[in-house]
Amino acid sequence: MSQLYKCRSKPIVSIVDESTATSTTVNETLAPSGTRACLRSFSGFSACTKHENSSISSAATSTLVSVEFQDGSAVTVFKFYLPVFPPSDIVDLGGNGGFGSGLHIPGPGILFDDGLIVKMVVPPNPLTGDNGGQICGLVDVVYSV
Amino acid sequence: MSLGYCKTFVKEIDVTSADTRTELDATLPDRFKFLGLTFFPSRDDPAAGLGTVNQCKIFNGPTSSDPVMTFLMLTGSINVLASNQGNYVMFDDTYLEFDQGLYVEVTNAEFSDAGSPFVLTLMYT
Repeated sequence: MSQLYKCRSKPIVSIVDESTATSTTVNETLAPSGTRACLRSFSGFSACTKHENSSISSAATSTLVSVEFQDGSAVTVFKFYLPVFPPSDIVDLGGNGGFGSGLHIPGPGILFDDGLIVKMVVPPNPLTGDNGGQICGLVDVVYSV
Repeated sequence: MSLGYCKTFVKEIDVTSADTRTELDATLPDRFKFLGLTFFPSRDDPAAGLGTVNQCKIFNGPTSSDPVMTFLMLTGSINVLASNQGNYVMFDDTYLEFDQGLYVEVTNAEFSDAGSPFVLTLMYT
């Protein structure tokens, strides 16, 4: 006999328009400090919508979309960078795959016994035209409380 | 207690209105355990807004404020099939509870038409 766990989910989306000179930070509190939550699985993508946009690139970690799972004191427990979901090539064929169900936390999950906060940082997106368009980061988080 | 075999529900729909929730199917029970979902928008039209991030959102019910899941869709400058498919599969002993039916909403309706529908397969029990 096994226990089944009813979970909650939360999509966290940050869409950044072109001509945005600074990075965009989203802090989403899934469980406030003083309460418990268990991280079970998540998936995520970043995206740029124009083929010459290099706002999301491997030039530096500051040009990638970062995601951190933090406890209620803003201590980072888990950090990763999102894979990009880009236009295919120079004629903008559209979205180009990516991954779906991303990371399965082993065993019963990661226990956050003093709050669970998701912090996502999307880099600046300063240019326009073929170098512009919107960029974004997206994570779907499955957790239990 | 076991989840038992996974049931599936396959639906091909033409989403004709942006930012409008559509019930996946009235014959699907309102209450079920969500185990996973795949979707494939089989049309990619530049009218869907090149340079714009489009999303497919899954809701529990017609009025809930937050989506249960969100997936990205990007368009190209010519009308071709693009790899905009998405999926989420629950792991092991976890599920999401739906109790008001499954509704779909897209931010742009140009990712499907009558001949090139949205194809969704729901896994549930």
